[in-house]
Amino acid sequence: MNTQNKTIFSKESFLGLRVFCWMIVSLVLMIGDHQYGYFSHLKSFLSVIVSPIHYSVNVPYKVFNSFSNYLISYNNLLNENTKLQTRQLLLEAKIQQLSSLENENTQLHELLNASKTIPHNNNKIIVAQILNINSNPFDQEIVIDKGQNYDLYVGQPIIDAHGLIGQIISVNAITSRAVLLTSSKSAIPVENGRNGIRGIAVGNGTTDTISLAYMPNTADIQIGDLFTTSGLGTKFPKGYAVGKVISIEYPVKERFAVIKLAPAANLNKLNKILLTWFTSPSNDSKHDEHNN
Amino acid sequence: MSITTKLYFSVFISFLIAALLVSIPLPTKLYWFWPQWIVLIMIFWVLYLPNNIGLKTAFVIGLVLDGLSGSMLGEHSLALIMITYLLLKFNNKIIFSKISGQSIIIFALIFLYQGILYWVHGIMKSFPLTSSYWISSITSALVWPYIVMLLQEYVKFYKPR
Repeated sequence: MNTQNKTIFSKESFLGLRVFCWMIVSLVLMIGDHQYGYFSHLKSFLSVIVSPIHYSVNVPYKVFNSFSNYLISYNNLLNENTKLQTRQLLLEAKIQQLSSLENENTQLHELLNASKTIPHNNNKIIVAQILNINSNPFDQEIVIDKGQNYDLYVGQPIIDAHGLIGQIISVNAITSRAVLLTSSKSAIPVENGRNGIRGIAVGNGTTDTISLAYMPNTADIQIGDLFTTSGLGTKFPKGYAVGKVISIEYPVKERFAVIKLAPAANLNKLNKILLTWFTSPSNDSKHDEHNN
Repeated sequence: MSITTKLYFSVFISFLIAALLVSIPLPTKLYWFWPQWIVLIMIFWVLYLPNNIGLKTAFVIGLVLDGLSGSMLGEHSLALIMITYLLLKFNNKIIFSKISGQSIIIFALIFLYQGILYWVHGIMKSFPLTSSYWISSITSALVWPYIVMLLQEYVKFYKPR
């Protein structure tokens, strides 16, 4: 404290002014980042700095997992093996059926002279591990352990075994960030599997429901209908499950029905996810909507 | 190593531990109760080392928080700078008050911190929908006495007697 008082311009002086300056700096950062998308270098630099923290938080889980795998008994392994083999047989049988259906479908499309066909299953798919979930509850996001090193791109759809999870919103060197379909930032073009009615599934910020936006009161939608991605908007491939209708309300004052879907993907127990490379008809639409 | 470098090193380690605590994946319901570890550590160091830890550190730590949560650049910096200002302004009053009084002040500060973030997100129209958002300011205040105890021991370890 004594050294403080000796100098004329001590650290205590101009406190208000210095606070003002720093606030201006952070406001400039905020406006530049949010409105104009500057400072992307600083942002990717920060995410590289922070990625060791994300990784090391995941270490105890991995260690525990490998340890419990090590301790698993021979009998359990055999059981699991037989179970998985029967499951694989079943799935392969289903795939056979699917491929014949696909052939039939393309033939029908050719008969109808339709030029576009459903994207095939031969798209590249890789598995990624989730490093962090919900680090910021304002917007439901996950961090995954693959980034530019695996050629991910912004807008890439991510799925699990049951359905769509969301899409990638930022790709860094070794990690990337994805927004869940339940986030209020997310909107997905969907269609009803029963009768093909199209709509937009918008997240509403809760973890267990999404809502259908702008669906007229007269639309034919019933509880239990499965909505899948419609492939419109060229962001998501057609045919992935998005959610099942769990409630329908018709408010008297509103023009649109309030329809809630339960997400098909198991969003509460995410651990491993799948990344698909969807080759959209127009590849240049990749670079839209980066900044939302 | 001189004493100041040792001290800075200990500050760095404490922030690293807080960052690890913050980024542990938690179930959503538990998440709301999770204290704001980094902010608490920041408050402690500003209170006890006001000549070394101040606005610059607040700014950098805010940027790291932005990186951790993937949020808009500068929002955590803004909130941290505001509470650092209050801490520097009323340093003596806070540091010489009782620990229970300190807890109440910490509650107010973290409430303010969350309020600024809430306001920033309100401008961007992405409010958190539950009011449980505010719970962590209470839990942070409850955790504060233990943090002071722990970190004071930690500082004694590094400072000469």
